[in-house]
Amino acid sequence: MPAHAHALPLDAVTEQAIDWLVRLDSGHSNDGDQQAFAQWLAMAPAHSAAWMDLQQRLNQRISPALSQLQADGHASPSVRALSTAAGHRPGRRALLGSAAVALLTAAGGGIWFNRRMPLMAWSTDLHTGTAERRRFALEDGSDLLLNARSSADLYFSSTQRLVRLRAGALIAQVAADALRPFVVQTAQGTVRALGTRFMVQQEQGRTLVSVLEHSVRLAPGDEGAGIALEQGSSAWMQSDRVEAVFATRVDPSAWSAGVLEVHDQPLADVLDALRPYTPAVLRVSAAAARVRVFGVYPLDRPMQVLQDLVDTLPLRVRRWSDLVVYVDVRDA
Amino acid sequence: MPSPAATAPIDALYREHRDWLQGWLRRRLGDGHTAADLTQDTFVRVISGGQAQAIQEPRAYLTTLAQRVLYNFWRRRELERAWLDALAAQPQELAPSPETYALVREAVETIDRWLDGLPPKVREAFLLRRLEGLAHADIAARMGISITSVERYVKQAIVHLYTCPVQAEA
Repeated sequence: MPAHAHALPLDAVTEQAIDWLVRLDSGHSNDGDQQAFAQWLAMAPAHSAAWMDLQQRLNQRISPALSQLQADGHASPSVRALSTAAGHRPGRRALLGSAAVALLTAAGGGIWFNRRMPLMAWSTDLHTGTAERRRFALEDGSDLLLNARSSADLYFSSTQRLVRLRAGALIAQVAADALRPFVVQTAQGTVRALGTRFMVQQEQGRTLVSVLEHSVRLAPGDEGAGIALEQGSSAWMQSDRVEAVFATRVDPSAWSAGVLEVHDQPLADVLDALRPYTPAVLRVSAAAARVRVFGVYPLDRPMQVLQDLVDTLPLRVRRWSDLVVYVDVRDA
Repeated sequence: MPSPAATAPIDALYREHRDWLQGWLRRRLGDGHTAADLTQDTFVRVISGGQAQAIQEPRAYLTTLAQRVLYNFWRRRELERAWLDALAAQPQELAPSPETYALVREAVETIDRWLDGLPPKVREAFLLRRLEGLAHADIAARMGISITSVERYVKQAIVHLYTCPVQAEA
């Protein structure tokens, strides 16, 4: 099929968004680029809308297939086979012999890169307000990114680096220090860094842990040697056990880029993710809470997200002043 | 669910011409099994085309559809062979299990369809970045081109992915 026969038009703002994607995802981008990008995004609502639209379209079209092939041993032959246009491929040999090799399905058809917020400040008692994400540089060279409405205390000494997460979520980028282990403590237990980058999210009665690089060790109830969790995996930690989260295409740390990514999740989860980003109280009926949601949404504009959901799903929204928003199913 | 009035012409078409079409496909493929599969695929296209009632020349219509089915089949097989050849050329022997292989093949076909129409260098630059994770400077060195060209190619691929219309299933 001649793919460009009916190509959709490309507007100037989308082209700018594509230029940003190419620049930021070049493998060479620096803090200056990221700051300039943050300014561009903030300059006009149309900019962030174009950016989200671009991400969403790429995610729908090609990102899951690309993730599928990023596993070891598949990327290189795929590049070679796909780099040749149709009709120019040699057709020499017939099919495969099968042996066993596990496919490491790369988790997260996900976002194309993590937008790093410019480094802002550090303190020993960290917290963020509504709709505020903030990166904190720590004295040991590590840094913490806090999601909106999150708080954490630091207890650093000559023998330990302990971060107590009291509310919300953080992503830790850990600097190596053989003498002082790096530990994040939640109400359910501890997460000990063996590697460099992971996310911890305090929820009601449980903790979500997601490993972005290398591995961590989970110790529910702070007891025992703990359970290893590897890169690309996520788990729920309760005070007496750890439960695996089955691989999905959703990246639990996408909030770090201001993005909420959901794939067949109940609306209740979406509203939980939006709450830290709005001063309004979000209420949901039992029927609406079960509605399944797909898509990629901008966390920084929660009311826009609600409007998008109402436009595409059988939902309606009622407001009492600006402070209480009630989501229900639409009558047939 | 199509109404009986809509399915009747397809039933007739199927009864009268299926064997003939399968023979037509077998002569081109030299393989009865594949010919039977592609005959089914062709009738699926007849049903989804929704024009069965208006057909004047049923065999001409069926062969037009069957040619498209054949083209896609050959194209997929060529792609598969290219992938397996490239796999065999790797230093490590990494033969995927049949389950894995089905997923990999599907992903390769999906990407191939979305990149359809782009020149080989554009495809290569984009895939080296997105699949192998090479930085632009490394891609430039690998392909023997300038970094500016790499940027232009990667942008061209993303513009194409963004703008091309939703693809029909192969």
